[in-house]
Amino acid sequence: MRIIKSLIFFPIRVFLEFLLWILVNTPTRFGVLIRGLIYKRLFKQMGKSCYIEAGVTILGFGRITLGENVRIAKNSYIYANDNGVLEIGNNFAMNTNSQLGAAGGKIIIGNNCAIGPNCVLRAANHAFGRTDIPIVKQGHEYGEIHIGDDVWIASNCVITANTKIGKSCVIAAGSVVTKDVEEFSVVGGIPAKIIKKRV
Amino acid sequence: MKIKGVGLIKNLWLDFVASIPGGLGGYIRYIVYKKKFKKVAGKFYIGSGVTITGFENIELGKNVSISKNSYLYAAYNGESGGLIIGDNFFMGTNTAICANRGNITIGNNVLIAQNVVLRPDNHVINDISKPIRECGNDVGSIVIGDDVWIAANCVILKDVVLGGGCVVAAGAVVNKSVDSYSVVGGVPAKFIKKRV
Repeated sequence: MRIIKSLIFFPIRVFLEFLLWILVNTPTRFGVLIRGLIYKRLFKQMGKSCYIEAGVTILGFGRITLGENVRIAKNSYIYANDNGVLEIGNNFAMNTNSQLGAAGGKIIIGNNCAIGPNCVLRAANHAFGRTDIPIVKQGHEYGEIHIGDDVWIASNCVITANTKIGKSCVIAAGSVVTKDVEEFSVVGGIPAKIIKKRV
Repeated sequence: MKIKGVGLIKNLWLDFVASIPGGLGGYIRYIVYKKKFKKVAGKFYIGSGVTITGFENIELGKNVSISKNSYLYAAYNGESGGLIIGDNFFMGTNTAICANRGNITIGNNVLIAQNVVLRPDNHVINDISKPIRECGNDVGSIVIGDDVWIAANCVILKDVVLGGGCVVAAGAVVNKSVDSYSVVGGVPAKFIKKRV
C-alpha cells in the first residue's frame, strides 16, 4: 500500500517542485509579474507593487507578511518554515544573497528599511550548553529579531537572535549585532558598538 | 578535436545534474556523484546549484548535507590538495570550501552556517616587484575537529586548527588555532569563553 502511495505521490511532488522551480527562476520583468500574481495567493499578505527577482528561495509562504513596495534582489533566501513568523513593512529593499532566517523564530521589520548584500538575520542559535553530546543534537534556541522603521543594514552584517534595533539606525558594513541598538545610532564592528548618534 | 567535444558534453551534463531542483535533484545527484567522489561512507544530500570541482579528491562521511548555491573546490594542479568531510556534516548556503591548493580535514558532527569561507592558502605578498597575481600561493592546511559550530559570515584562514567542540561566533576571521571547547569571535578572532 505504501509503495502504491509513493508511486502516485512522488511524480506529483516532482512535478510541483518543477513548476515552482520555473516560477522562482523566470528571469526579466515578466518573471517578476508572474511571481507577483502567484505569490499574492501563497503569502499570508502581500501589498501592492512588490518586486521579487529571480532565484529567491522562499519557505513557509503562509507565515510571511509583506507590505507595499517590497523589493527583494536575486538569490536571496526567505525562510519562515517550522512555525516561524516574518513580517516586513512598506518600502523595504534587500540586496543579493541576503538571508532572512525566521524559521522557528520571529522577525519583524518596520517601514522604510534597507538591507545590503550578504547579510544574515537569523532568529535562532544552536544550543551548546552541554559538552557530552554534539552541538548537532542539542537543537536550537529560538528567539526574535525586531527592526524598527528607517533602518539601514549595510553589506555583510549578521544580526543574531533576541536583538532589537531601534528606529532610524545605521548598522555599518561587516558588523555583528548581538545586543539591542538604541534609536538614531550608528553602530559597527564585531560585536557591534556604538560609533555615533545621528542627531 | 573529438576529445574536446566529449569533455564539453560531459561538463554540460554535470551542469545539468547540478541544477535539477527539489527532492528529485537531490536523489539524482546522489546517484551520479556517488561514483565520482573518492570515497563515500553513506547517504548524502547536495542541494541545487552547488559547484564542485575535483570530485576525485573529496571524501564524504555518513549523513552529509550541503545546502544550495555553495562551493566545494578540490581540483589542484601539481600541489597536494584534498578535502575530507566526516559524519553528520551540515553546510549552509553560499559557503565556499576551497581545498584546491591546501588540504582541509573536517571531523564528525560539524555545523557550518551561511557565507563562510575556508581557505587554506594565501597569496604571497612579500615581493613588490611583481603583481600579486604572479607571486604564487603560500599553501597550508585547515583542520576542523569534531563537534564544531562555525556561525555565519566567518573566514577561516591558512594553518588553522579548530579543536574539538569549539564555537566560532558570527563574522569572525580566524587566523590562529583555537583550543578545544572554547568560543572565539571578532576580527581577528579572540578567545571569549570556555564552553565548560
